[in-house]
Amino acid sequence: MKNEAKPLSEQRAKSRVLVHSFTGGKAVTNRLLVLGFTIGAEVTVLQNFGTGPIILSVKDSRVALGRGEAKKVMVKVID
Amino acid sequence: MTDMIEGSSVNKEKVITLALAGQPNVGKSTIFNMLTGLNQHVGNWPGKTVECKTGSLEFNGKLFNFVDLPGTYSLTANSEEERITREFIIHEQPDVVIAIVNAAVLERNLYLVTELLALNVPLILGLNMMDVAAKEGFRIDAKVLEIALGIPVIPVVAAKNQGLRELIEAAIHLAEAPFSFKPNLPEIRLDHRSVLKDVQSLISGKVQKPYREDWIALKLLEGDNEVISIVKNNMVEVWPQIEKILLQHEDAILDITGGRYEWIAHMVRAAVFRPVPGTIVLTDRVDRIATHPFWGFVLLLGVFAFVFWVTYQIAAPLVTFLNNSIVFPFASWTNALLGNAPLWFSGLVVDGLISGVGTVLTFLPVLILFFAVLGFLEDIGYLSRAAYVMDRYMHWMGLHGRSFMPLFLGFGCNVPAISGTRIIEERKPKLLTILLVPFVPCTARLGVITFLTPAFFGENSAFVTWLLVAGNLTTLLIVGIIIDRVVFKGSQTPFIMEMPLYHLPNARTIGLYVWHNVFAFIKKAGGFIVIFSTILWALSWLPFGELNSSLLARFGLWLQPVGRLMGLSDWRIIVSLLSSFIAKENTIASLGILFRIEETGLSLIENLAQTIVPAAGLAFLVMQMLFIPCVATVAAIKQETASWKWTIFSVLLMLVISFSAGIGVYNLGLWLNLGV
Repeated sequence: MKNEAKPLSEQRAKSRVLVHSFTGGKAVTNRLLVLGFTIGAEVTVLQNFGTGPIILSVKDSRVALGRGEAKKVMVKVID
Repeated sequence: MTDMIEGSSVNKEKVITLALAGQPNVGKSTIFNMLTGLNQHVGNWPGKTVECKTGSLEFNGKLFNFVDLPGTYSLTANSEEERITREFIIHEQPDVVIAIVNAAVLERNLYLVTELLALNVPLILGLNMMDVAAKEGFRIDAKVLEIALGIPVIPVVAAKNQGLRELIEAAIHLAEAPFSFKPNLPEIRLDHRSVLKDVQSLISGKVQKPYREDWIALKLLEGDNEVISIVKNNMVEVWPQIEKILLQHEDAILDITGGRYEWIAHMVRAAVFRPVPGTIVLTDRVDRIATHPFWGFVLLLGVFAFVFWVTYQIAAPLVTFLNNSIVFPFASWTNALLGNAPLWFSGLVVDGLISGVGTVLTFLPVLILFFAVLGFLEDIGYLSRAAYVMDRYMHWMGLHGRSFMPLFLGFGCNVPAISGTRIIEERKPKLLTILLVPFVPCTARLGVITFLTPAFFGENSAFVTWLLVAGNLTTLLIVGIIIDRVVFKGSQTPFIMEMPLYHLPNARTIGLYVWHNVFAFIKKAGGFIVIFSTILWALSWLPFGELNSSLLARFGLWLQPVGRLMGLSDWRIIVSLLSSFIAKENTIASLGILFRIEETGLSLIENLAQTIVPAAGLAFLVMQMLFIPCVATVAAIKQETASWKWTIFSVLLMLVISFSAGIGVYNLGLWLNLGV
């Protein structure tokens, strides 16, 4: 109950999360996997202003993600 | 490609081919440029729109071929680049592949290495940007990494020319002794190991060389569309069984990619000392402003203004200098030299040929400076920030941030901008971006309007120039929104983009960027402009050696009724506008030839000011800004869309919009009393 999987797009800046699952299409999912967003991977949200694209840190690299794509990545927050 | 340097006198042995592979943003181009310098050839892969860079290097008296493979994150058939890279390695079998990784993004970059290892090609690792990694707080022990991976690992700082010699030596060493190559290979996770074996035994003995059975089996399990269709078409008898297995394990890709990253983490564990989490580095500090929705936009506008300020502040005096010190003296010197030659001959050489070459020559400073500044912004890593900031606005047109980069490039020259749309993977947004590029006023068009606006608007010309640019960009936005809604039905495309770390620019990389773009312009447009100037002069002279009875005048007179709609009843103006189809800057050259200066004793500007009322002048400037793309751009559109339908659509779109805008602006101008 407390730690449900939520869309990545809803995570505030500086929060650290773990990738839980993908709800988007195969093509986008594959591209995200290759960039290091594998199941269980740790992701830090660097920037999220509530609208527009967001910036994440994964595997020591910074990746910008459109809001639409970020909605399709389900994550769990690390306490 | 591999036979490029065959027949060279350096030696008669087989030339060793070294291929550079790597993910984007690892400094691969810098390394390629440092190694090959100007001994490189930039073309396209056969039948593809992806750039293919080949080059050569003489090292210890031997010649080596280099192929710079496209930057790719993986080797799955998601994009053209990925297909080209893996097809090249499988079919051309380079002697050694040099995988370049950015030491500051080591784990992510090694993902491509796991895919290269699966191809069983001799591989060495160039650990680039060691200095950037050190600044970010990483300590990497190359020797330990080498032992873990089982392949040669060479630390490199390409921007400072460190380690490149060692890199080549290691590559040559491996090329000469390929049997010494014994890498540690990543294994698939336990859960799917038996499934992989099942698939491999089904295709056993049926895979055509040079493909390998283990690789085909792995790619099937990854759900690679291209490999699936190869197997489906060539192994009809076992396909139903394979398909059944693949359907049961549709999520195998999650496991395979996860497994690769686990393997990487295991390999680098002992070799890498990582910075403390949460360390604020330079990139974070700059990005607080550069990627901020508001301040980032303000910064972008500032950068934008700066690019143009630099370009025109420095270029304008240079252009004047070139004209006054080289073109004009040379023209009058030639004129004097040809004093005894027939009138038609000196006219052809001076008014046709030299004025054409002069146009090209005086145009170069603007182009060189624009591309130098843009190359600098790209090299330090700023352009991806600009794309990020613009993403939310690009969505209005169903595009995303990536489309902003080619559009920005369009301010320099539309031709490379059209080619630049290659960075957009999906067809629809790529097509829409191609259709929008011609609305971005290139340096040639900006040059024409800055030259002509003073004729009609005197001291208000700076404001009018600004209005014209704003008009073009507004038109771009409106056309983009309409085409997206009507033609492409508003579908959204994914935006996923790496934001590289900021780093120091490399002069050689920027230099070659400028060289390639400017050279492409000279090659594509230069010839056109010179030939056209000559033809135009001939048409304005034949058949009686006099302008008002020339062929050109007759053609212009025939078009006069169209011109009247926007107040341009003088046929010479219409002809000048049409001539911009050959090259945008031709407008000035044509006006110069058609309003022959010596006849009235007035300058071109004074002459124009007397001939045309401001309302018609504004209509002319607007039409010039929105007119059909130049020939070189049209050729680029055909090449990039691979479709005559879209090419013709683009030309007609511009034609209709520019004529409607011309008529509209003229009538608006009359209503505003600019008709006097």
